[in-house]
Amino acid sequence: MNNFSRPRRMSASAFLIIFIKNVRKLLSYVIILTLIELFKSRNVGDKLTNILFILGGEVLLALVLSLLTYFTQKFSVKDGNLIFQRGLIAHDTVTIPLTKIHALRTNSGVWYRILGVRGIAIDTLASRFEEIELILDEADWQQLIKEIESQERPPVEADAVEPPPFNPESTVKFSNLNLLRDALCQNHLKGAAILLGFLWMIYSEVSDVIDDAAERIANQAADFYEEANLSALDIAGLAVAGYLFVLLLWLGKAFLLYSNMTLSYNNRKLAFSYGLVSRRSSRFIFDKVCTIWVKRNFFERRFNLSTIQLCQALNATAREEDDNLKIYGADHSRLLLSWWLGKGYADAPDIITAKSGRGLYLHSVFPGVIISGAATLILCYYHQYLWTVLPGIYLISYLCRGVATVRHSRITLKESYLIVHNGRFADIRNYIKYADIQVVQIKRTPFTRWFHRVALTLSTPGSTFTVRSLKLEEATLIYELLLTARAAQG
Amino acid sequence: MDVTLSNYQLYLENSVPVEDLHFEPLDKTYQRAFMIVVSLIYLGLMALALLLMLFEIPWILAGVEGTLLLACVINLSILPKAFRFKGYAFREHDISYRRGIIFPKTTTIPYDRIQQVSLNQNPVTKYFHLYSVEVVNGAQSLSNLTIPGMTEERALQIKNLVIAKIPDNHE
Repeated sequence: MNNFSRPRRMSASAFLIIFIKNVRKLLSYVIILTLIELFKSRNVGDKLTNILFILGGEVLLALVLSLLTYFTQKFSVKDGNLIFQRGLIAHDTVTIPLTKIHALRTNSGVWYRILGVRGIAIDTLASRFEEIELILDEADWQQLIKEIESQERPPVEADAVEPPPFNPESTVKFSNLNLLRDALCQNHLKGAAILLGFLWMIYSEVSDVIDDAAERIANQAADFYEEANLSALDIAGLAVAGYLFVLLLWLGKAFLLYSNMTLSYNNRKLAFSYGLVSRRSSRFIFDKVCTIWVKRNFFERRFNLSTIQLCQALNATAREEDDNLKIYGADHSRLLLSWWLGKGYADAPDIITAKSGRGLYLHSVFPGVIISGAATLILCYYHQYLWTVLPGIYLISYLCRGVATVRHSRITLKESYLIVHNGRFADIRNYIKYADIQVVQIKRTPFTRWFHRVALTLSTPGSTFTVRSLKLEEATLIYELLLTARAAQG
Repeated sequence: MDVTLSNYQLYLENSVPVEDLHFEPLDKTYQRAFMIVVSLIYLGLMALALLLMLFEIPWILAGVEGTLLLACVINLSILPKAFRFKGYAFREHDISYRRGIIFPKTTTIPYDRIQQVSLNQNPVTKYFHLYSVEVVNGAQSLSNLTIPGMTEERALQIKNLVIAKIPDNHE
């Protein structure tokens, strides 16, 4: 009879699976060493002997690693917890409450099927747990499931978050015109990244063929500049043409990815479908949404548009999913927020608001000061005094960004949720439920003793926010309120 | 090892703010282990720096070794202060850990967000019979809180306390 109440090793066949995995892991090194050996100028007999030694070494090393792994790993199910012990020199004992296990994923690859075992990966919200796999034969697997089911306690009803009542099933079609209008309101330099990426790809492809291409281009550009004798108006015209090209690329990308967007929703889920050529879909489950990000810049506010992003809880399996859908277009934030926070969310009274101070300004402009300072020094060293205008402009832009950052940065606690305001030139609001807060941190700086300002960090399963330069008393109060409200709502 | 759960020292009421908590210090032996780890790291770096001898420029080697030695001395001199500042505290609904000298931080994790608890030992802490308790939650960042420098008994007590405090997991 299988017994999991005492620490025990995995099934005997697990050793073979671990061995095969270790052989696979070492295979790339073996291939490299074998190739090196093949190209060495020796006679064939020596080569074969050495290759056999390499292969034997690999098998021996894989065997040692497998023995170490197999005999140093134990697991048990006790008092409602799944317990793993592992390690020889460094020793770990991991305890997972069964109530925190979201799913048991099984792996039945070819080798697993041949040996009659299953690989079992345990899913919790903790993303770091993915590397541990239990390899069990069928009898052990069935017994483990029984043990888990017998020790697992049913979830308490009060913990279940009931979504607010909503229409049974509704559909919203997003306008393509509004998508383009909102895309026009974005930072068009985003298109520059696409353009540069495209050019870099072409350059990488052709650089092998034309070794001195860069030098030739540089020389031709210099000749062209000298011969063309461009006026300031010509340069401005070229800049406008470049800008329009970048803008066109950005609009094309936005239209290709997000056009013909439809949303169907009920009180449990949101399902988006979008894309001009290939249709893509994104699903957001009520319980898994942990932040709604709403951005409105000056133009978006003027034309009643907004950019919205929904963040879902990330765990080991969900990390790679396409959870980064951005919704450009008419302002649908009210619809999405009332779906998630309840219809009366906008009327929820403020509990406290804390604004960032001037410390955030210094924090924001610091990189700009360093970069422009270094650039100025280099230009001065080479006596290029006229060009120091460029780092100067860069510094001024950073200083303006700093002012805008401080203006927007604050945290507001409402009765049933909180809003973290950030953004530079745009007003960005991150809506978070107290129940989603996983951890809170307060950080002092060497200046706290004089200015009484601290940074407050809070993290949810899918997002992290730091509000800097808050007054110490306010930050401490918010820290406590976050934990108290979270306990009440969670 | 069986541990009685009824004798835990819970200093905190849920009305006590984190700022006013009494943080329990780490085991004194951990300071020695910590100093040995730091010294070993610097010794390793200084040994690596010996590779500069290949360039046959003695003043660079002397400079690098001197800088590393100075950094090691400064680091070791502030370690006791860092050690004294480190501490952990429990309240009704959460666990807090405090650390850092230049940027002191206090991190709090509510019990019901904890996904797993681990007891870890590395070769140095194993020599001193010390453990660290790692509390893992589901956050995107700050997802694990590691409280080092515990005796086996203390580490087990903390692990059992935290596990027992997770809702729906009471024994």
